Amino acid sequence: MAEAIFWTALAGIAYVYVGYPLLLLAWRRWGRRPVRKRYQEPSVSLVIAMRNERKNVQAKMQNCFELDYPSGQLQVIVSLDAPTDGTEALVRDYAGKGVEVVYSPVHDGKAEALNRGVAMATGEILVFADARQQFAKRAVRELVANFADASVGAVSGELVLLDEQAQEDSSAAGAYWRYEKGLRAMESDIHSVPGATGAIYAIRRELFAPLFPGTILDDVVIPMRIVLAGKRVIFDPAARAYEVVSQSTQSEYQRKTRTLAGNYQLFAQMPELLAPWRNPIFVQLASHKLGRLLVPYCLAALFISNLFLLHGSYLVVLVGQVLWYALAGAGWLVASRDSEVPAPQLLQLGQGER
Amino acid sequence: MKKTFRTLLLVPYTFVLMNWAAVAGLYYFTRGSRDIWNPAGARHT
Repeated sequence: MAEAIFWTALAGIAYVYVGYPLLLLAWRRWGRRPVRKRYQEPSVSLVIAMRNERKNVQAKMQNCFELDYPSGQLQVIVSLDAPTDGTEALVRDYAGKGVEVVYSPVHDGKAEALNRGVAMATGEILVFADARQQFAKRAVRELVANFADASVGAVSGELVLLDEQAQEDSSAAGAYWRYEKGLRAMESDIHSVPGATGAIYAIRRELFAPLFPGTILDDVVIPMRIVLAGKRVIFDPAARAYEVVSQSTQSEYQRKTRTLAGNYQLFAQMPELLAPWRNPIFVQLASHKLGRLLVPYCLAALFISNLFLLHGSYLVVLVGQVLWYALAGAGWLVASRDSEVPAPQLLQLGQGER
Repeated sequence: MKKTFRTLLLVPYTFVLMNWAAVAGLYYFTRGSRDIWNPAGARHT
């Protein structure tokens, strides 16, 4: 019994982290579907949902004005979700400069803010952005060029994490993010990415349907709806946004927690995604998103089953596991010492949001 | 040398933390906390 659990858990972990990337490599070799990109200038609505972004508003607005795209073809919409830090006053300063502002006095979440923003949009293409990240000048142009291919329904850009020296983040969290982007690039080449990058993605306006209130991952729900509608969701690393990160491992943890909570919500909201006959990227979604949800339980099963297998090579594996977790514990101490954030970050989860 | 050693420690730490995030995410989801605007909110997925 313990052996069966051990090998099943090990196979699950190995598939998610090694087998699936290898499968994608082989799949891409034989099944690559190139996108016919062509530069064009359709009308675009750039929708930015904000709550309390006082410190980012001015830089973001300036960034919008500096984009390499004809101003007559670019509608900028800021949808405010009851900000309490003065964001509204700052955004209103830009209302006379072509920025359209939608304000909600009631705090009802990002999904609703996006719905209100999109309701005002007139562009053929919707580009979604967050306040914190800066677009590269050509980002919108690069995103939009992909829609020359009729099979493309949505395009995700690339978010580049920068350290405080404005170099690409070389921390472990940065490496994890680069691994993630590598997977997305391969998934995109085959058919579609199971989710976009919230900081920078674009869709055809006619493919947008209002989000359910309380949706956590608009950038997964919207693209997956588009995939179910028969269009592709691709990843274009030429369309870049930048974000300066600090305390990156902890930040990445918090972001990841929210993302993975959103994945549970995604499967609850859209159970059809788990039906291979309905979802053309079922393998990618199951391997990438569902697999990540299951790995921690496989890790626990691997460790516990290994405790009942204390002979031969099993013992070596157990020693390896103990060493791995001991190193992780030491890493936690190092990260805690380096960070201003108190060490028991793991316990912080959700305590402020009952 | 010191940087290499630090990275050696941070890789398993990050791996464990990211996996713990999946467990925490389930807890978070079942408690119904959905305020995306929290500073810890999803910024890139």
